[in-house]
Amino acid sequence: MPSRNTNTRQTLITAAAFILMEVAALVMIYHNAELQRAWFSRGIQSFNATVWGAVEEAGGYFSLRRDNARLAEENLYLTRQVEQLTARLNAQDAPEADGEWTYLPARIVKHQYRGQHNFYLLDKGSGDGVRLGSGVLTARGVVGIIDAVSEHYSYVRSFYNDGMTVSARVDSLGVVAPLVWDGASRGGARLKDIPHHINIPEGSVIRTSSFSGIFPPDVPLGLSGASDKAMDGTQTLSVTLFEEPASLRYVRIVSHRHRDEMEELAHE
Amino acid sequence: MNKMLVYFLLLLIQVILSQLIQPGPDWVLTILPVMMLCFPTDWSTLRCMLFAFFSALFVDFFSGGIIGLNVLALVPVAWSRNFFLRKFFNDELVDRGAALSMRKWGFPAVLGLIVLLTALFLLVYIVVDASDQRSLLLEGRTFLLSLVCDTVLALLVLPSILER
Repeated sequence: MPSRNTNTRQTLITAAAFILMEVAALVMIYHNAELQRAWFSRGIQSFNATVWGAVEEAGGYFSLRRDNARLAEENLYLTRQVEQLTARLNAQDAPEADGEWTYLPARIVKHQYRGQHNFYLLDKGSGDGVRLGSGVLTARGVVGIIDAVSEHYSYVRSFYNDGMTVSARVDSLGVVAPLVWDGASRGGARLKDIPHHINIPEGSVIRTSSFSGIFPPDVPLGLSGASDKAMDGTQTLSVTLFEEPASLRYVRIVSHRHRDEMEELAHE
Repeated sequence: MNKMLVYFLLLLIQVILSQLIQPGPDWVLTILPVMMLCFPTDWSTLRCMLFAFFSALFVDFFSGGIIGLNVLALVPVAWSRNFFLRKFFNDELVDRGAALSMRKWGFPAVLGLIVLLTALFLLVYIVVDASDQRSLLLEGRTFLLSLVCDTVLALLVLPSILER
């Protein structure tokens, strides 16, 4: 009596022979009959379309993770491109006071803006032409002042520091006063030493003044809020700054072309 | 008479019939399916298929039809022959290689087997021959007409195939 393995082998051989003979018959028909050839071709094309369509669909499903990773990389790359181009565009659009100011775009590589002593580290240094005491800003406000420079990096003392002062001006009135961080909130500042008699409406735009050798004039800083009158005949105005320090990625380093000459003259 | 001799004679008759009668698109004249019963019942399926393949190829070459069409239709008949023999009669017939006789197994069973084998052949043959160029109704009519004619033809040649 034949074993089970022998039967299975015989069945497989028979099935293979059957398929082989039928395929041979189909090939013969294909090569000898025009009508049947056209019919077979249609069938084969339809089969291929169905099979490959299914294979493509399944392949597409299983490669979703890889595609997502690739898209995420592309997205990151494009986002960086957009940010870089925006930074360049902003640098071009920034106010240039009679060509006296030079701008250098930079990227923030490290920052701290949680404590009382906040700073940024930029990817541009003395090798790129950065000088100590240069201003750092964006189109939405002042960021800080270069406090230390190495060949490839710069250390920026943030505006959000005690003792940091920026010369500001109330846009509608032309009143100039020092702007300082309020020491408590992000985006909060105070415009100090404004004469008592000047009434500044809330919502007035505060800009940099033209009396600074660090920042160019008319850079928008924020909007005025309530005023607080002091006993010494001055008032302090609360200011809501435009720039949000946590979202900063790109900045511009700004310096006056003739700063050395101005400082030399001032010392004399 | 030796059954294989009968087989080869029927094969020649099939070629002559195909050449003389020239069947049109409305019917298919064939005795190839019933010829599969000429093979001894203990023949393996593979052996039956090989004989069917070359026999059908011979008919295709000499009948002037589409080469490969009879092969395509007859090989499945040979492939399923032993299966149907077991179903219509019993396993013993195939295992022991007993002779197929009308007297022993009865006319209805033999007729049923012939109709089934012929129907299988015609189904493949007519579908591929029409190649989607004829309506299902016309194909069905061709199938039924051919099945009746070929069954009658098979019954005519059956006495030479079966054991007396």
